[in-house]
Amino acid sequence: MLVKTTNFSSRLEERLGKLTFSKKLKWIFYLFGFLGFSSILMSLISIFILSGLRSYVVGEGLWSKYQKDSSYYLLKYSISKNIQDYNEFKKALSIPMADKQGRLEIEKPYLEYDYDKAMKFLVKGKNHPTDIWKMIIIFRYFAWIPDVENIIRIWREADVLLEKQKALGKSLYLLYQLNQSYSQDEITKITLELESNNKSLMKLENEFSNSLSETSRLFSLLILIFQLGLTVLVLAQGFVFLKFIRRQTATRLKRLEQATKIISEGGDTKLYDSAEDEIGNLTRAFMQMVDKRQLIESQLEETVNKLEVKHRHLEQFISCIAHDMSEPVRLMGFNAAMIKEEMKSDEYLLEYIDEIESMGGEATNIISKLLLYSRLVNTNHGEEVSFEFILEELRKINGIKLAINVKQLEEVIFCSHSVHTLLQIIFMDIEKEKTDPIDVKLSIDHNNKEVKIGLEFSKESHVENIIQYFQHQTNRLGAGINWVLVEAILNKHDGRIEVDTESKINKIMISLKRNKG
Amino acid sequence: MKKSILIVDDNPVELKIAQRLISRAQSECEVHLFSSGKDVLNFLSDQVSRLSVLFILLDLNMPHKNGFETLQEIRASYSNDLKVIIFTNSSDPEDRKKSLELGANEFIVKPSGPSEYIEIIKNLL
Repeated sequence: MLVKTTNFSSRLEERLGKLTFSKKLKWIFYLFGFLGFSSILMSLISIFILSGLRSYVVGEGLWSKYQKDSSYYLLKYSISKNIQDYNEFKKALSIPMADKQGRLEIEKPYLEYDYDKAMKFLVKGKNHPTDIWKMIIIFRYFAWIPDVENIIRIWREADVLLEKQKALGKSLYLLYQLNQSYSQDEITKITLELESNNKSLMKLENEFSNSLSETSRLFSLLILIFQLGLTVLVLAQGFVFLKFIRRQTATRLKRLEQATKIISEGGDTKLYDSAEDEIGNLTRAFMQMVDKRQLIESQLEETVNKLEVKHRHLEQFISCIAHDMSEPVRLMGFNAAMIKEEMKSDEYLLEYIDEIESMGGEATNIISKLLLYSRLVNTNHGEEVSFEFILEELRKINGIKLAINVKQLEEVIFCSHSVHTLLQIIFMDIEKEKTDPIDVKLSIDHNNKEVKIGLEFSKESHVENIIQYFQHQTNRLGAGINWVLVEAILNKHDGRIEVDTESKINKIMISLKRNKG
Repeated sequence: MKKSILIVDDNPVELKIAQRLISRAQSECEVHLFSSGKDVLNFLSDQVSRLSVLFILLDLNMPHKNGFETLQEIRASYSNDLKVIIFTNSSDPEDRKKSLELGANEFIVKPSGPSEYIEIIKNLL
């Protein structure tokens, strides 16, 4: 049973899958249209059958009336012996006799039956022409129904009695017109037979009427049951159809929604929908888009990987060059210093050597900043640097007198490598310009999200260079590699620098976010 | 026995400067110069020579066997009594951290002038 249901379900799914929603809605419309039209059709059939049965009722009434008229004229004739009465008898009897001829024509097999002939006889039997075709259809096509069959049987039996009445009339006529020596007993016998025949006919007429009523009630009931059954069947089909479409649509849309969610969250999923309707088309378009996106993503990833490799090579190149250059440059300065010590007498020569030493120092400074940059952008280096180490390194820079004001120093065990680099840049640059020791108050405050570095300088002149590349960042040429380094650190940590030049003590506040880099 | 100072550096200029300045700072010590980690390890393999060592100034960036590898072998082969000072041009905190983890006694960035150099040597002595 379950298998059958599944097969039916899958067959229905397959067939419905080929229909667009517009066509599915059309099918629902057709289904309910069929229901409406079937109702109208059944009403028409119902009206037709009931109207046909009513025609039989009317026909039976006329048949009965003329049969009684003929009986009346025959009895009258038996008393009056007037030929006029006999003619009236024949005239009245011809009406139900025409009905009989009509019935005999209708009863003929299909090939022998003549509709026009039957119509002619039944019209002669005083039936209304517009009712006759209905009577014929009921007679020919509904005779299998027992009640209709019974009506036809009664009609046949009545026609036999009608023939008998005709024969009685003929007998009486022959007695009166040809046989002058008839006895009263013979007349009495005919009239008694006539009365007996009338009684039998009356009984059949009642039976005919009852059967017609029964048939009418039966037809009404059958039509009602059929109409109700059809309505229930069509409504059930419509309900099943709608329920199936609703469930299928909801399931498929849900699957699509879930797939969209997974894809939007960066996941991977495959969705197949072979249906040819709008959801099927949408699903296929969606999966095409996903495939395309994945292709683009993989291409992008490949490009990023290539760029990363190139970037790493470039960084390594910078690092190697800077490192390799630092050694000879340092040794140039070193040797110049040694020459200076050996040749203290020649002032001019000492002056040139001073210049060489100064330029060597400058070159060493630039190279060390290149190395700082290389380390800064190389993410393989750990971000955490011992804070003690930072302070130690800063104190090595000559001429800097640091007043360390670190909030809760015990907790600031590790600090950012970027902070270290930034402080090195600042103090190395101040050192270049120094004439006297510089008083700087350094304060560091940090939480899980941010590190804040505060620098308070005792003299304004000490921070002119810093302001140059912090405040006027567009002047790259003036700031040189310092600007590049500061920008790299700020970009890496989404940082900002505020320079307070209005207060007496020049203050710089640097904020670096921890969540980047 | 005369104490000895070992200088390991692939740069001959650096070695020449070191020899001259150490001699100027301390004439009692013997200075041995090595251009590679392999050479210094050979020297240390002799027990008599090893016992004479006051300290070793070891450069990090050298071809074939760098300072880290040499330091690692020294610590793996001999006792921790040998004083090894990493003497390098690098100021990278990572290099410092790694050197100290591998057992270096100190990490000193090479100075930019003779006076600072002599000062460092004097401190080590």
